[in-house]
Amino acid sequence: MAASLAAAAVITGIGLLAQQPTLQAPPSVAQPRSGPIASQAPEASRTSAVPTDVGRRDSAPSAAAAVDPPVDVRVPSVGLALGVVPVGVRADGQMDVPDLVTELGWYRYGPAPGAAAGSAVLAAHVDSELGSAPMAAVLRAAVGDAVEVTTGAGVELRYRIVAIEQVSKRALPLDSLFARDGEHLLRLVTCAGAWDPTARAYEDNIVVTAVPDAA
Amino acid sequence: MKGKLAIGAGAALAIVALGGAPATASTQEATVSVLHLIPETTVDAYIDGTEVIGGFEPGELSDPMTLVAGSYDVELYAEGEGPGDAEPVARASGVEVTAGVNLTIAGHLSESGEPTLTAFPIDTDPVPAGQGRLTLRHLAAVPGADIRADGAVIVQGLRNSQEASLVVPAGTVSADLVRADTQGVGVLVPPTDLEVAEGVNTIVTAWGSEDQETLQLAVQVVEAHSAPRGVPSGIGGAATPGALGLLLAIGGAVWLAAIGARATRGAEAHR
Repeated sequence: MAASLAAAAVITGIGLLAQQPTLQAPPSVAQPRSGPIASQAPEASRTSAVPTDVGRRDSAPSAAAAVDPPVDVRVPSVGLALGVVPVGVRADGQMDVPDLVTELGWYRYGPAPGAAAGSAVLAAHVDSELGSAPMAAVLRAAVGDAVEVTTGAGVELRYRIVAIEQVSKRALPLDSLFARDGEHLLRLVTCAGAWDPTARAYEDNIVVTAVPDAA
Repeated sequence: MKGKLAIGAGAALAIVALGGAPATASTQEATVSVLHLIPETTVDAYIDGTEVIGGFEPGELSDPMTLVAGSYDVELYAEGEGPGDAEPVARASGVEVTAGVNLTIAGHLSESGEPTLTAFPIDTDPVPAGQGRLTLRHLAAVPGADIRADGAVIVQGLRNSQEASLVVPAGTVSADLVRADTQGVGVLVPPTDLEVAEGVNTIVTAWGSEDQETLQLAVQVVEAHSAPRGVPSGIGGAATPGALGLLLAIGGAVWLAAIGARATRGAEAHR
């Protein structure tokens, strides 16, 4: 997986972003420590209730639950249609947005489109050194527009845009944007605002929020 | 003036969608789970004399319970028995449950094979995005053990009732448990594929008895995630108002996406 991403990065001629999705040799040998043994102090008087009939499950190791990843995202109202690749994080801790401006990166550590809860985050560059990129079309989208997602299993998901926000990167509420619980949302993220030539980055993010649309 | 990039006509700004942090749980409460790792013994678990889990099978993990902070007596009785008519299989009196802690109380065998109870606070500190915490516990009736991941020793000389943890890139690892100081010859638990999921504490416990040939692994997963630190999604500065306005005028169809041929990608492993 890392190799294929790396190959894609090299072909674009844009900076290669190292990715380490697999467990590497750990940095050092961990030191054992003891678990605290229950003290033998006499029982304190306390009247609070303890639950009964608590549920349980088998703790044997099990295979990871299969996730149906997004492969294609469309916003028909503005002619946006991008293929999707799973991405992780860069060495600096930021989301690893695909170098190819023709691709949307889906944050594979978070929920996928169609999940029961949490935010599925997909991001693409708004431009490249050569000019505007396809994702710039999302800037023309409007609240109420449809977002269509096709998954790897061929499931068609439909969302409706409920908010388009421009947020300073310094103020971007990352925990909320990448929420793993709460209402299921689709978040399309790109850049906008003033270009900071020193930082070689835009000052703002555009966040398009969409909710599942039954229709 | 550095102009702001205009959002398309008809777009509404709604700050609410991104705002708001969830309310946190009461600071006087704690989360407690019970893990039953005493082989070949079905038990009823009691806390302060109340049966909380009946017919608790070896290898089972309870759902997390919310308890008010305080001191609790935890007892495991053979199934069908209870306080007043029998001696417990294992007992821990005065287990201190501190407010805000996430505690696992494990019934297990000591190194010599005696049933016992040990409480472990779970490390729920967020790990960096893209990484996972792997906690390794030794609750088996065997002497000191080394734990290996993909053949390399990652924890050395772990003894009964001890644990060790490390933060590693998320992924799958093949782990085994070998008798300490045998250079991997004395395999106790053979290599088992474990998923170290991103943003969680994956707690892997070796339990059982070598004599009974019941050595095995138990897995418990607890949230510890954090978000990426940002979304860097512009490269060139071309999306400044003038340039972008012109491009948008031309129409979204003329994409300069042609930079670089689309690379052929292998199938991405996903989770």
